[in-house]
Amino acid sequence: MKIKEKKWIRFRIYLVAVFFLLGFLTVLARSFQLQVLEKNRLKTFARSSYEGIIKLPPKRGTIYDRKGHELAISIEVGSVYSHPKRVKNKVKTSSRLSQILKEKKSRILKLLKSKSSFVWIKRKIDPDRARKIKALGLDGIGVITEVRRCYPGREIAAHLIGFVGSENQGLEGLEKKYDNFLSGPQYSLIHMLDAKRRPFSISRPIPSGNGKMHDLILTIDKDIQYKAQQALRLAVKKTRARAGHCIVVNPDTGEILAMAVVPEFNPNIFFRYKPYQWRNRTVTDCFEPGSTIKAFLLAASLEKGVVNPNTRFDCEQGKYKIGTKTVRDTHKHGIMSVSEIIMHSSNIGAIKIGQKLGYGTFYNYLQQFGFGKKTGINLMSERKGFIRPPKDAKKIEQATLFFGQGMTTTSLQLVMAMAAIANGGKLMRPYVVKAVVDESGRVVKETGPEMVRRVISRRTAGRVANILEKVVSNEGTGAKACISGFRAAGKTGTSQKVDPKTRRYSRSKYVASFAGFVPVDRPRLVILAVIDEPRGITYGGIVAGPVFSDVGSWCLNYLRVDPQLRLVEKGVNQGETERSNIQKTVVCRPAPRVKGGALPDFRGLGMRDVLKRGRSLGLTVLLKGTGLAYKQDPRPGSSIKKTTMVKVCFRPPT
Amino acid sequence: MADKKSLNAGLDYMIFVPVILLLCMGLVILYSASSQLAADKLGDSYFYLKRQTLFCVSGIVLMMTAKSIPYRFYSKLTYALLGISLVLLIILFIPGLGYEVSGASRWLRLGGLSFQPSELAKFSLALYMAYSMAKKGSDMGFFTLGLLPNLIIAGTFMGLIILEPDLGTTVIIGLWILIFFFVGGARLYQLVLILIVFTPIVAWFILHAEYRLKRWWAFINPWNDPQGFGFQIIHSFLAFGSGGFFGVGLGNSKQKLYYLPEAHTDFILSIAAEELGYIGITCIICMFGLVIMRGIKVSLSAPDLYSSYLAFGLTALFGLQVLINMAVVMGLLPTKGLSLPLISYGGSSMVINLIGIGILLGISSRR
Repeated sequence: MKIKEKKWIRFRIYLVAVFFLLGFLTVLARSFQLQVLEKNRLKTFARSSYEGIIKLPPKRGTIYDRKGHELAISIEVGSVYSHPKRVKNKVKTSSRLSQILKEKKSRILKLLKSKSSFVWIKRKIDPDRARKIKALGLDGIGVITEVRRCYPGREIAAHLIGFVGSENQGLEGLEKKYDNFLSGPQYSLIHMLDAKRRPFSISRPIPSGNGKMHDLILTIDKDIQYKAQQALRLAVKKTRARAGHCIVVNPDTGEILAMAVVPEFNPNIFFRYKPYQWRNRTVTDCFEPGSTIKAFLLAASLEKGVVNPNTRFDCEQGKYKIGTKTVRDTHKHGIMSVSEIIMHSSNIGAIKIGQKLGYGTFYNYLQQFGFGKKTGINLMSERKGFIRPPKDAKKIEQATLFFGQGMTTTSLQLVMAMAAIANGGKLMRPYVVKAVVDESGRVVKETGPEMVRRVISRRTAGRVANILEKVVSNEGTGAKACISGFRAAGKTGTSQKVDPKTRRYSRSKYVASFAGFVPVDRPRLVILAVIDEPRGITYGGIVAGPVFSDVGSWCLNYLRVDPQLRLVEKGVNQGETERSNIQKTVVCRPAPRVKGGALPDFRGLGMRDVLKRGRSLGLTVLLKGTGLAYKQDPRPGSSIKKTTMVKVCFRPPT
Repeated sequence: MADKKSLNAGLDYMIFVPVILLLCMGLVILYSASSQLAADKLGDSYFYLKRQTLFCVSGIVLMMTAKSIPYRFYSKLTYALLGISLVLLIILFIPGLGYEVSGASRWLRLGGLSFQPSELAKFSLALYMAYSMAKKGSDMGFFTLGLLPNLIIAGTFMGLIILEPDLGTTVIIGLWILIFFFVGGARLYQLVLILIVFTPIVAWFILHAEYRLKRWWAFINPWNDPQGFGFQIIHSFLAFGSGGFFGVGLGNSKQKLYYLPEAHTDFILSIAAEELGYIGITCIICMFGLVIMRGIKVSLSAPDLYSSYLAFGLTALFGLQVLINMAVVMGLLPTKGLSLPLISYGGSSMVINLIGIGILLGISSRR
């Protein structure tokens, strides 16, 4: 009997065949659903379980100074990692690694015994050692090229530039502020793990995210910065001060050429310093400006026309009562002109001028000069300082503001305000980043000079400058700030610090400052030097003045600014201790000293003759102006014994 | 009749070629799926490949032998094989002889090789059923005369297998018996009655073993417990999904790296899906489909009722195992311990499946 003969059996077999066919079709459809329709969802899920991602620090753009010198660069270094589960002989491996890495064997062994699938043994080692480790070919040990931030100038502009952390993320300064621009694309390694969390492959660094790397070009001049730091360091050391800042600004543009802070730190090893040492004090710290503010009192009063340089005030012989309080001057003065008040920095004189101007007007002018408000420079944690508004100010507080007590300012505000006098009355917006450049060299973002506002007229600015120039003269408080060959102007300041314990002005802690510009007729540089808590002599002119002079003269030479006064020798007017340091730069040494006798009268002589006679007497002669001598200091006939320097002023014969 | 002209006489290429292709593909996938495990566990990444190749070769030899033996000869073997299977299944319960793997003793150790008696049991049942049903002929319509003796024999086997415990094989045998009865002429109400009687028994077994219950829940919603019972099926899904349309390429499967348990045995199809993609899976399914359709065709055109039933029984058994395994790895059925014929690692299953196909080829050559 054949099955062919049984129709119903055939039919049932056909049914079974259909059942199988349907079964296979179902399975095919299900497979299609899983493999094609739900592919992405399942794949992503699958990936998340077997892929581990190790993020590598991104590359960073270079930070250049204005001349193209590198201030912060990225260099390639090696980083040693391990897949601990793949290391067979952990003891042997750790001892071989410790030899090369100069690390404790026990530390490495501990890492190798860790349970995680990936550990860094040591990051950012020099390529040489990395190569050695690679050559060992140890199981489960690998080397990846990473990028490390390096600051070739070490301390140079460290406070401004800041530094980065171990993942190359900006932590301080410009590195943090411009992190978005500097930081390149993030790189990551994808390592795959089996279900026992053992890695079986590690990828090459893959860029993730589309961050673009940019370079920064700063307005800083590395050489000026270096000079500013060096001069400041010297001054802080000499005066045994706590700290100091110095800013050099181009008054016409508002570009910061140097921003120095002492004590310094080396950003390559930033972690060895304390956080307060990282701070860019020029913008983050406020202090009372003291007499420096009188420059702006002068500017405001002249602009308002309430006084002129020759207006006379009674300086009350150094004691002046405001209500119950007494304001004192360091020297007793009688009746003085406005220019003399500024020159000698009389507080009482300043109050008298201020009273004529009015507190409210002065307050407004200070605001116009940018005090009490952030300058808007693109730096971390800028402070805005404080001026007491007219309605809150008591009478004594109003009076003290005229000589800079009871308000606070940052160094940057002060230097920018001084720049406004220097450049003919315009308050400029300070900036440190000239341009942001992408990898192909295209400028992405550019900063140019920006005038915030005009504060005073050009004419007033010129008049103020002329009076401030007298501050730097021999009679002025800022004599030590003079720069031979150039006409400099500025204002000294010495302010008492508020003792945080007693909440009163301290008798021993001062801030000495000097803000000035040079050359007077066409200022190229505005320089501010602030010395925090100098010991010994605390006067701004004596402590901070030399920094101005030192940095100024060096910079002018560096910038090839022609001296306005020819045939001038630099005066040896510094203190004895400074002579050894500074004298080296003096071009002409005076002839051997003549002992005894009186100082001749140089008046009416030409420059050449004055020089000749002065040098024959062994004197340093400082010349000022052109034409015939009309004034000299010390006066003719004074003892030559005590005199080392004669300052002679010339004017064209009339 | 072209009985003994040569070994290849009347070789049914529609069965032979897909089977050989499946075997080859199976070896490649098996190597890929098992090499890491073999290297880690046994220190020889070729361990499973070597053994499977051995099974394959001996299986093919046995297949060709089975093909050349006249099928009538098998009817004489029926009771002997039935008896041997029964004895082996009972021996499994003697402590020390049964080879236990994760709580189930399904293997017998014979020398260096382990042997799975349930595979032989399935085969001998197929022989017996064909023999018995062909003998009874149209009596199959009567319950006591036709169905009951078969039910008793099959029930005994199923009872022994379910106690190993191996619920998967039991269910397969049950389904297969039902299909056999259906084709053999049983009335539909009789089949429904059998189902009604046996379903509670199976349900009882599921409910009284916590892992089976959990497997059941994992089947209903695997994502509820992705780290526990859902783990295997989820990773099977992930393997399918990762493979996509074209696959990740031979040897590139990630799920085989201990993510997917039983990657070289029950879930080998998932690895194939990951490495060869939807295209590969389609090929495999089509080849299996071809073999099965061809097997049914053989049974339809077989020379007599016995050979017809024999061809049908072997084909249906083979087809059910393939289909259920595929449905399991794709999450259409709850997880059971069932391997994919011709592809999963395992000697007993390989050899016995190939012998079955050999018999099918033999019947085909004598049409």
